[in-house]
Amino acid sequence: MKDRRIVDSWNKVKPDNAADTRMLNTILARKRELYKKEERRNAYLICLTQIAMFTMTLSIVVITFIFCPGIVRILLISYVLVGGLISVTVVLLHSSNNKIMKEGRIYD
Amino acid sequence: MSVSLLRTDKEITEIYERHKFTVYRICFAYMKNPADTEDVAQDVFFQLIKTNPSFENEKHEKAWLIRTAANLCKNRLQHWWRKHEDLDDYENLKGNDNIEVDEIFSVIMGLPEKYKTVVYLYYYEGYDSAEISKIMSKPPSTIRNHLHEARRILRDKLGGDFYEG
Repeated sequence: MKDRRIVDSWNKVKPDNAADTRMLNTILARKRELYKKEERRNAYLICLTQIAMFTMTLSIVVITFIFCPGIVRILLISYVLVGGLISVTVVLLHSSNNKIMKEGRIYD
Repeated sequence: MSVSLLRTDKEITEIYERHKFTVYRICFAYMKNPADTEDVAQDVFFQLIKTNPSFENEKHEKAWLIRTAANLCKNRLQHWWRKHEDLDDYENLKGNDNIEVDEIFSVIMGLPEKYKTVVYLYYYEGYDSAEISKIMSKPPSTIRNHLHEARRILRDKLGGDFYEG
């Protein structure tokens, strides 16, 4: 058996009950704060992505309208609009799922 | 073992309850007073929340916390504003907390930081030198040398051999 005296002396080092509770409460409070901050940042990033997608779709539609004639124009515009719609829907679904998952985990 | 992206309050509390004494003792070995120890111990668990690592098992989790605690303590002690407290400073603080100081504890607290942690991990936590070398990312020969030196100091100051057996 390893030297008992060393084990006994380390046994005396431990937080008292008040310190123990204080530490745990502080850790959990800091955790909640961090997760909320991350949630806000994610929401901001999703918003930026949506704006970028919308702007890109609009630009392609305008460029196509100006430079492509006849049936090609109609086909391209339809293609871009449907694609843009699907992309935005995917982003929205992803963000709402993410939010539900996070809320469930943070506040359980 | 928990591999989730975000740990819940319950999971964090469980990890805290499992390892609070180990983390507290490692931090105390470096910081030498309860107030600073408390601060750094909180930072260790906060680091776990922030970096959110996945662990293979409890042993891995414990090793990660020990390593992080040692690193955070070293960082804090290296701050320009921080002055190293010596044993006398610690003795002055002993009346402010519930930690009982005896001769052997004073000698252990007086050991250099690198020896103190190794002594704690070897004698108290029961790790062997190979495991300690992995946790502390140091060669096994260095750990064995630290243990040898620590034992020599303890033997000189307290008598006895401090070897297994």
